[in-house]
Amino acid sequence: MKRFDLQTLGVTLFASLLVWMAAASVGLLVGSTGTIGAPTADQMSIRLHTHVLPASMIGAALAMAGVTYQAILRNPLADPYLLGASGGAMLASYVWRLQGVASIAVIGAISPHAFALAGSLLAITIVLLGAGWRGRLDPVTAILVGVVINSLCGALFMLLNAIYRDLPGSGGILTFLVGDIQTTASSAHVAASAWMIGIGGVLLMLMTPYLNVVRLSEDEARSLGVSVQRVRWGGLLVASFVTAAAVAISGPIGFIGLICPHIARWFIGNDNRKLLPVAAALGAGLLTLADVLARYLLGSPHVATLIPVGVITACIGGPFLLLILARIKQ
Amino acid sequence: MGQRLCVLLNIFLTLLILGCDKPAQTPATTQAVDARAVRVVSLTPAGTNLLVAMGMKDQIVGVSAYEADIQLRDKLPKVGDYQRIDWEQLSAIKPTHLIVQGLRDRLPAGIEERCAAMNIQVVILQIDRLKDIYAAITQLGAALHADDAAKKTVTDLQARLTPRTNPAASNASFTALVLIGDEGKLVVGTDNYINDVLELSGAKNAVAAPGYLMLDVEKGRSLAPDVVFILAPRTNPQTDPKLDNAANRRNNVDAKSILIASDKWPAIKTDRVYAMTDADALLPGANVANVYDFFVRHLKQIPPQDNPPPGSGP
Repeated sequence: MKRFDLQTLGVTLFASLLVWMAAASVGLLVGSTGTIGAPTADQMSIRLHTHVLPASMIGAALAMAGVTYQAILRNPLADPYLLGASGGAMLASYVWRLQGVASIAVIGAISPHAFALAGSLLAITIVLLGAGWRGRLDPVTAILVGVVINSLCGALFMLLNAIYRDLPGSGGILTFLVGDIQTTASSAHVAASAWMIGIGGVLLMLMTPYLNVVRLSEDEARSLGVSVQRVRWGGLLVASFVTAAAVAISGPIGFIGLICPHIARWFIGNDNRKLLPVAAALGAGLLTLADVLARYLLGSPHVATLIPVGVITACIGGPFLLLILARIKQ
Repeated sequence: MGQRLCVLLNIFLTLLILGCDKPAQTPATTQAVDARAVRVVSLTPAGTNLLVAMGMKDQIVGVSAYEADIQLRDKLPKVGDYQRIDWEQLSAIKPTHLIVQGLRDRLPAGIEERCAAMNIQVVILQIDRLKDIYAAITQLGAALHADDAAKKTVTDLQARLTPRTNPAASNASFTALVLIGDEGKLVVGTDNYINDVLELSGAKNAVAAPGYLMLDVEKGRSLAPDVVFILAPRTNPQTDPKLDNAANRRNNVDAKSILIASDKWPAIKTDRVYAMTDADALLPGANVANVYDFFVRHLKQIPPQDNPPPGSGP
């Protein structure tokens, strides 16, 4: 493995930061009703705190989770959304809102995130159990089980909503099902997510050398002194942790974790030490741009309400998934 | 290298969190305002309806994307709905009050938090029954410093909603089924403001269960309404714009699924199915007086000799 020095890290981070800043700048120029122009101080503050920073944070989290899932599962199709982790987290954080459940959970601002983490881990466990066979994990079967988990979580969500009607979500049933940048989440919840994503990001960055080793065969990894199982479980836990943090305040925004690692790979190759920060920056940038597009479209007379960003990422991610599947076939 | 990496990422994280945690504007103390100085954003069509009835139309400076008053919806900025708020527009409009509807504990926590930071008073209306509409008017009057207008609106509304309890003058023995929406499956049960208005108009609800219920063909056959009212407003901006034309709307009330299967109902046999397609037909606001008039007008059309014997309903 090539030596990865501080200079390389600095250049990688700087380039990633530039990518994100370019997207963020566009995000600051587009108003909530599709207007384009230099913002006033008030507008700048609102766009930054309500759209650009949350979108960046959520996008980065999902992309980092995608890089990790793809590495540890050796599956190019792995993504928090397609693996069902987002769906599990979404359902669990909705369950937290049930009357009675919220009062039992006394951990304060962390509660929905703790529920989301449990949901995310449960979903991933089911996928691993469902798609694993004699220690091997078939990539397509894993995605298939993930899709089943997602459908099941969506159905259970609708069932709960039919019984309890409009729980205090942070964005309405539709936006919580397809994922959106929530503009009415409490600052405590957003801050809790930011901390979790930050801590998770640092942990994942520290794990990247091991993620590189996990790509090798189990014997090769062992010869390098790396326990593949330990890295896999650690990676799963931390990736689910950041996924849960993002989903708890946004709902399951799909495909960011799939698209961004692949785009990053086209530019910088497979070294996870570079891939993770670049994919995170791309995730932050892409979700910010998706949010910008949603706001821009609101300026059209044909669009009555803000389109959830989850709809936009799905429109981009669906064809992208088909493209990857076609390449796998070849 | 690992430590330096941690430091770098921690700096980025701290900046991010400071950014996310910071309120968009500095909090300010609540100022005393009179009714003329209030600037209201109503994110609930019922709230807008009540404000208009209170003579405060000019004080409304923003509405929801789902506003039923088409004139206001076209004229004023659309600031979101009860779950999603366009904070940028809200900040530009600088309202003094934000009207939302629902239970306080169902409201996303960020709404009150951010409004407090922007010095906007949140008024939460909770309307289930007719008495809640009166209470909401009083609540709005108190919040918007318009107590006199609120009292007058309540008095006027109560005067219009006179109970028709005299069996000779009304058709109290008639059972009425109220379908809502244009799918023809959702019906009005008891314990809600529409049922309250229906009872005031002198009819008896054909459905005894509380709330709003889905009616399928099987359940429908067990009922025998003498009259069917359809409240099917066509106000959703996502529906066909052609339906904004009143004549088209009346022709497009397609609440037929249950009606077609219910040809044994007295209401169908005698062709007593009446539709109200006004934009505000389903709003729990001052417009309930129009709904009441609609019920009464059609109940009055039924000749007294058509009154079925008491107890003929289910």
